[in-house]
Amino acid sequence: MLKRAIVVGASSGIGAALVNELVDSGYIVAAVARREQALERVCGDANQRSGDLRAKSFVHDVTDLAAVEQSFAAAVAWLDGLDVVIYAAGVMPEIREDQFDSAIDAKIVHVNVIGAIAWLNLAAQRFQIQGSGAIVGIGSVAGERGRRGNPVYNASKAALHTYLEALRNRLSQHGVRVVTIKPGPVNTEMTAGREGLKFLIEAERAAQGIVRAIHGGPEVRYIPIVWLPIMTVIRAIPSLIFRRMSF
Amino acid sequence: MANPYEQTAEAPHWEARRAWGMTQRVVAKVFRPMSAEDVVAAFEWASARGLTVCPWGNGRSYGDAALNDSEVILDMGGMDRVIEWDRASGIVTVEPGVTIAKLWRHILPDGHWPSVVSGTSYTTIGGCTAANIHGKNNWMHGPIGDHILRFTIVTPDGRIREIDRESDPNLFHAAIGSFGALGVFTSITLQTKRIYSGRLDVQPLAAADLEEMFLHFEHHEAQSWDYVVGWIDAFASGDRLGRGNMHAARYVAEGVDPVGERMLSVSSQELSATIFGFPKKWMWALMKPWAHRLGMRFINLSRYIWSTFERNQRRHLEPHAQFNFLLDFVPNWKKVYEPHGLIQIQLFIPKAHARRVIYQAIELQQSMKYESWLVVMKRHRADAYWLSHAVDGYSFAMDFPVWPKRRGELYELGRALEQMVQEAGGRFYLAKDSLVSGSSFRKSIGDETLGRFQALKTLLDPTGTLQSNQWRRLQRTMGHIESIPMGADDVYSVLSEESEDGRD
Repeated sequence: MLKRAIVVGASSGIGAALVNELVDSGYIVAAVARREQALERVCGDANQRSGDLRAKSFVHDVTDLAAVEQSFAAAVAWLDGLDVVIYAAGVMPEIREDQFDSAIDAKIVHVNVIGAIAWLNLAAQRFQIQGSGAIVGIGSVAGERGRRGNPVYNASKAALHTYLEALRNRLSQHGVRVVTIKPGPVNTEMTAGREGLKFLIEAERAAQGIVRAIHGGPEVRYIPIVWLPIMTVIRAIPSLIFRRMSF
Repeated sequence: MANPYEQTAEAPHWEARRAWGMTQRVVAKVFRPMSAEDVVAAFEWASARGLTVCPWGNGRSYGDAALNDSEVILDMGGMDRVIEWDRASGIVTVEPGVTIAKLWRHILPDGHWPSVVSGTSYTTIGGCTAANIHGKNNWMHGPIGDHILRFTIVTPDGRIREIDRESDPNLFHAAIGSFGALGVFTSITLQTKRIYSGRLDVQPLAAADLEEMFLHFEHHEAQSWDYVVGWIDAFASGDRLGRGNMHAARYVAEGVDPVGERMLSVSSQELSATIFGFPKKWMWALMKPWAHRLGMRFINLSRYIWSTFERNQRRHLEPHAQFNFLLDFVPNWKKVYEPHGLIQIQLFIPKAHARRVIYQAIELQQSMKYESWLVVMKRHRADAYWLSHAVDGYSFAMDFPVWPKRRGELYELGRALEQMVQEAGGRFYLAKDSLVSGSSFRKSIGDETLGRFQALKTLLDPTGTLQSNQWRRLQRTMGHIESIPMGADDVYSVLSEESEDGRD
């Protein structure tokens, strides 16, 4: 009766919090990430709390495209099925405002977009036959507009949003739920040391919202909800004005 | 990148399957064998690709007993012929995909009824044998295995064996109730029950509390009634905890029912298609608005009050199908539990602990505000099947709705109930189960029996081809089981065959 979930990017931040939240919510979780030690710690904590073998680590680097199929199959074999896939891997390197570094940018695209597509395509193919399942991508409010600070991070999240929208349009007729999560700043490694972040929330709170989103309600979610009115306004700002604003 | 779920031209195709409880879906390569030879071919196809195989009957198991994610499922539904029916002796040989519904329709006009049936008639005889099902007459007539004379079983080594109780008592008692872990049944020969009326003599009684319920059971047991079944309102608490009603029924002797002969027709048994003029196939939609705790509290209360009326406690004659197939009374009742499904947990508790355990189990559900919407109580007897779920005692089958937000709590509740069963020396029933741990299952069956089973499995299925989601789930937390080879005096045709071939 336990539901079966894969969390990609589970060694820290929202992904790690999701492993715990899912285990508490009656899931068995295949936790996928690159950093083995951190991943083992996350799974160990979840298993200790539940007193049961409910999370298992699968070491995998999302930029290693050739290995995705095998890692996916290994996770599904351990879970003995699949109900939910959450792609929570993502990077946001610090970029100076005058910096244009294609190597860093390519890395962002690989982790945030290409890795997501590789994992979620496999899930989509399976769920289409299965006639059920939920695909969750962690986008960002940063994907709503191109800003000065980190052009490719913005672009990568925008690409993810659009990809997920297309998946939703393909799969909803097959009974599959595709959820786009757009969190504001979340207190994780990614945001550590950054000043002046608005409406910063803890990863646990974000994870609770994400698990709720799996079960029902709107398929595009701002977390926390305060970002919905804010981003509605920000999206509507004409470019001529937007470029003159401080962000 | 390749698509592992691509539908290739080569059969079989990927298909989605879900169990009756609707809580889990899998995708699997599905074969539809039409003969024992097809089963052999499917085994060859699977083992050449390193895949595992699980037989599937009609998908009536609640949990993961017939699921095999990303691997091979053998849908036995196509093998649905009644091979031979001898009306004089009441012995019938069927293919595994024959449902109980088909079987009783075939034999009733000749004055026979299947000796053991499940609460729904849509289970297959193959599935019933693999699960070693019981009916409401279990305490008196045993499980279906006790009425099986012989069966044909195809094992992953490609052999087709015909086994009966005498030729190989070990394999006979191990394979029945092993949920397809040793082989796939391709024909089953059953002794059916001679009946002289199409109706049963039925006595309904209300019970005001748990004590009265047990007294009703004990009273009817003392009078040797064939069938005893109780229903408990899990919402009633305090002094009323355990209230509900019970039904006892017995076969009618020759000449007692004046219209008994006439009732031996299929049409006299058919459940009516309407209830109070309302088409039954839409009943679930009427029930749906009541599918929450408050609604179910009301429905359980109403049902109890209804059962206390004097006219509803009168002894009467009732057609077999109507009495036995309660789960078919409301077609598609499971839709009430959609979209998230239900789980059923059936506690098998030895007689000495039954009162205490069911009391505690219901109290626990009430304290968690997670009451079972339906509790069905039965009386059982122990039997000789290796992986048997039966005990000399009582069972309590409980249906729990699944709510996504409370899935974690439901799991905790299930674990607590599992603990109660284990402490009372009870057993688990894999046809219902979807959460028991391998370690609890191991303790309930015992290392010696499991060790013997393991030895037999290694012999018949050395590569571990026969598996299911359930099998793997249990294995994962079962720990290592030491194989216990058969003793020299054991009748063991499997071994002797091997040595005759010089394979040893």
